[in-house]
Amino acid sequence: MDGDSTETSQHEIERPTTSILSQDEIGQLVLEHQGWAESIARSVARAWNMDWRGDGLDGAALEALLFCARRFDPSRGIPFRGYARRRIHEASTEEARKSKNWTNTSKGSSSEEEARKLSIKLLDSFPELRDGYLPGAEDDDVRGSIRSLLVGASISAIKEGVETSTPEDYMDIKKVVEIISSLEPVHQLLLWKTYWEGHSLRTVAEGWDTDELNVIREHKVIIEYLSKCFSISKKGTRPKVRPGLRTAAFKIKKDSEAGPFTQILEGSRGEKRR
Amino acid sequence: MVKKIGDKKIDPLSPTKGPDSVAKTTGVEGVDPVKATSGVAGTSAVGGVRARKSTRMMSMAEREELFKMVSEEADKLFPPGTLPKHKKEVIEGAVKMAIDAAITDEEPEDLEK
Repeated sequence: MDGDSTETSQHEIERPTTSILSQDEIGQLVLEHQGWAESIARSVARAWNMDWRGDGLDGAALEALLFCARRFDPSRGIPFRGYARRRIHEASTEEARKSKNWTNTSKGSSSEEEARKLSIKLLDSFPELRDGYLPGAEDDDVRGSIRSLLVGASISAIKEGVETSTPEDYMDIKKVVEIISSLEPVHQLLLWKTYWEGHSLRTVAEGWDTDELNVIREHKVIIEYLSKCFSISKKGTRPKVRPGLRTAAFKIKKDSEAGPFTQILEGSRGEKRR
Repeated sequence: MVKKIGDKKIDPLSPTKGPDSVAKTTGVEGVDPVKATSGVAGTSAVGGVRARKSTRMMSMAEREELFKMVSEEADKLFPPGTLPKHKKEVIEGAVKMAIDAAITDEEPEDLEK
């Protein structure tokens, strides 16, 4: 999620107002990377069962490619594709979301439509995906990365469940909420802000006036703990608050005794929200 | 066989010798004068910490294998009774879609270009 809400990419840094490259160089960049940009649009369309040309993803990808080429500064030492990929991916997904086929349920089941919406949240919560990487896979722990995605998706999904599910379904969702509500209030709030309110880990860190790495590492520990708790066979030790987050944790406890998920459990369904 | 303490004979200690003599101390010859500092160089900003960097880019070749892993891990994480079946399908589907959307069919080995 990190994130990578968490990585500093060139387009997040101050941009020049005028092009660094000449028109010829910009044209050359666009020409060289057009096929690659189109492949990003195709991958987005494939994932959501859409038509990459018919739904306008090709145009959005090329527009983003041109945008990036105009602002690309080779002196920064960042390869063009590393700089442009996330923006082209975002443009493609945004175009897909605006397309009339996005909510066209005749093409697929309602589950498919729900999954699409949830996958957008995943791409926002785990921006490394837009770069083509599995989140947090620096240790080559592919299954660990997949578990993080599943846990992240389940936390996002229960939001909908709390609001709309039948009483029977809610009893199942309640089990998940119970597990999350066993966490420290600061940990609950971290999940709440990330998965329910859509903030990046960086924004959460800024709000708590702490180093981004504290939040990233804490998030990883929490997700690992939850993945153990979700699968019945394993039980983990409840994570402690790391020193870098203790000031924020203290303040949160002082302001409100219970975490947001505890409040859901204690109050009536979905009423107590931050 | 267990050895008892004291089985092994220890050589007797040799008597210690007294110090022969102590070297005389010499006086301090002088202290260099303190030199003026030439000013402290300003600190430079840290060039942005790359917080988390994955090293592994997904490829088309492993797409199906990744999907299989998603299903397996979803079964482990959400055994019957933990989540409504429909919800589990949605979660599993969403993760597969997010991964699929991240894999391009024309990706270089890295982002060196």
